[in-house]
Amino acid sequence: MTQLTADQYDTFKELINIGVGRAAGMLNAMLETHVHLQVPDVFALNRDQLEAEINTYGGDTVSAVRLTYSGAFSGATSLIFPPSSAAKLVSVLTGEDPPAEDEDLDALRVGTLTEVGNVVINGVMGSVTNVLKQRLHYSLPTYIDDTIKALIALNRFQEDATIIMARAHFHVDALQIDGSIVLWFEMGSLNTLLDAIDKLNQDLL
Amino acid sequence: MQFQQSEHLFMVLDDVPLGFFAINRDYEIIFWNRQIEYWTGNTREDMLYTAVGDHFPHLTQPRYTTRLAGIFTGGPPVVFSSQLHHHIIPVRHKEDQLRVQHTTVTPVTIPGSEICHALFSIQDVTEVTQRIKDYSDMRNQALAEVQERKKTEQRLRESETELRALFAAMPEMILLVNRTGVVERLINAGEFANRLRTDQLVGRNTSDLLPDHLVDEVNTAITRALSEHKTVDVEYMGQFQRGDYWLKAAFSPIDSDHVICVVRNISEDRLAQQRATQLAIEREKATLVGDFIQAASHDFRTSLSVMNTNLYLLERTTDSEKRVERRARLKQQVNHVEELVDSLLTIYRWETTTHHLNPGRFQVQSMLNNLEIGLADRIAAKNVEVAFESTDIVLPIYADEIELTRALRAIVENALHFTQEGHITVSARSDGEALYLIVDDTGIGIKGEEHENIFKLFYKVDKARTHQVGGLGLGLSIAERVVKAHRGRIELSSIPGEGSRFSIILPNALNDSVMG
Repeated sequence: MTQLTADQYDTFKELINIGVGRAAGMLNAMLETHVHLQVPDVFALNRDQLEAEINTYGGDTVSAVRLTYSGAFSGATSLIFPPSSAAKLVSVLTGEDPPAEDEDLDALRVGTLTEVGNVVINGVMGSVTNVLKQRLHYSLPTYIDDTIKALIALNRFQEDATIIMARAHFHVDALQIDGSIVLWFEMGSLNTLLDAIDKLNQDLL
Repeated sequence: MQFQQSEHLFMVLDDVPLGFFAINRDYEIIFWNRQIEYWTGNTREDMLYTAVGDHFPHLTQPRYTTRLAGIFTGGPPVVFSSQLHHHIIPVRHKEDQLRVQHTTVTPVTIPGSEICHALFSIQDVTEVTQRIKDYSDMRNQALAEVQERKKTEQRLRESETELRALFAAMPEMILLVNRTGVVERLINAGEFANRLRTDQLVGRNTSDLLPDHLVDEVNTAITRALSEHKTVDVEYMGQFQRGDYWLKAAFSPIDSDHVICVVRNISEDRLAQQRATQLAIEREKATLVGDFIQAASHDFRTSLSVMNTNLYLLERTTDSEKRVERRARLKQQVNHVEELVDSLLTIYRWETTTHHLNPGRFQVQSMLNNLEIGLADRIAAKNVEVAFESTDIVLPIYADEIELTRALRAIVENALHFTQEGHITVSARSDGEALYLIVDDTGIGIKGEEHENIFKLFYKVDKARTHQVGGLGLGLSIAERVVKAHRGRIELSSIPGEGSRFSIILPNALNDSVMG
């Protein structure tokens, strides 16, 4: 597992914060409701640690929006919520009544959550690609409602691969909704990104 | 040249059932597919190479342009969901409705070039949106109904709790009983709880729980309540180890096969009533005895006073004619006192011992004749015509002549007391089985409510008036006792102000089986 230096952590946190800040700006331009996005913590985890972290949400499944990319730098970025939080977020953004506890999101709500995830993930990926200065090929954003194990299994990486996870707090009106932004990197991609970050830090010095 | 290449690049999208259009970084339309032509009515020829803002100004607003900026540099796709945007291209669906669209914008690079265009793929989700809305409305309505049902259930539970508390505080036992008498539910055992356990009652038939003599009454009440659709009240009396008890039960139909039976122990009420009745009787007796003593004293004192006066005058007169008159008056008063004493002794015998009749055969006409002679002085003293009619009964009757004469005499004397003018008729007849001794008068008559009372001991209908006419109020009481001893009865019919008829009826008086 790749260990991150303190500078790398700080840079990652800043990159993600810049990305979610831009995303929040876009959401506020789109919506009548004011959205405030915060990323207080960034962690470097292996898959077991990630699974344990996500499991702290409780429940058997998660709702996630996932965007994969390839090119000089390959992987996937996901925005993950507990299903009930996802439903709350959609409801507060659309002004509709939330679905029942045991009810899945309908196609329209899935579309809405996909757009919210799309805005956040695009913001984060915009920051990352700015550092990499590389153009990537992106898939369409997809919505996934499944177990965290199944979500992890969608990604191709080494057993001891390092996964970057950032806690994301959405403040919408008086409601706080917690989710996670997870950056999964295919083999060598994290190192590519860390090299770029190191170079950026050196340039700044 | 580039436009033509891009147009060619997108041509394949003409055959896809989605709306597609593409713009370049200058926001000029470079592709417009058949589907979107169909939706909008705008042809590709009209739309190509025109500014998209000229047709759809909202797409040039920052909320779109900031999202789309990355597309032109090869950034990630952008999603415009139907709930947050409703539509990218306004397309009429029905009269006042626009199609709902879910749009994805992806970067498309011209081969051999670094230039990226934005390809809008528009999915019509109008139908899905409507169906989801219908489902949501239906679900919300169902949830509202569930909530209302829960509230109603809660209110019912609260009401049930209140009712149970109310029932628990009630002394009544409440049963749900079906048509066949089976107890289906015991709502409140009330004060009967100590005596009967719920599990001893529920599921059992009332015929197993009640004494035999009550089963028919209960079944009849249940049947009546169900057939007449009304509450049937019944009172029962029974005996327990602690003594007599009275129950009052109300059977109310609640459907075609069930009644609610509310049972209340009214023993205390009944016992209180009995005590009150007994007390009233005792008081009445005390009053009657007081009246009797007063009346008897008055009668005795009057007679004694008359006797004293006549004795005084007898001693002081030498006139033989006056002496005869005085002696006659003395004799009259002595007779009166004898009658009073005789009445008292007679009623004493009837009240304190089992009086035995001394029956024999005698002629009714003979009895009537003797009675007429015995009453001659009294009749003569009244301004009333008294007729003793001849009877056609020739066969002797079998009775206690002395007692029967006493009874008939009491009735005739009663008629004489209360008849001031007109006439009195005494007759005897037979219908072949019973003997009828009838006394008709044209006296003051007796009100209906007094008919039962006049045969009571010492009873006087009009105390003020009867003081004037004298007597102890024993005659009719003695008459009734005599007639009952002959297994007969006295019937009375009377019209106040017009007169009365007393009928002594002796069934089978013409044979030997009349005596008790």
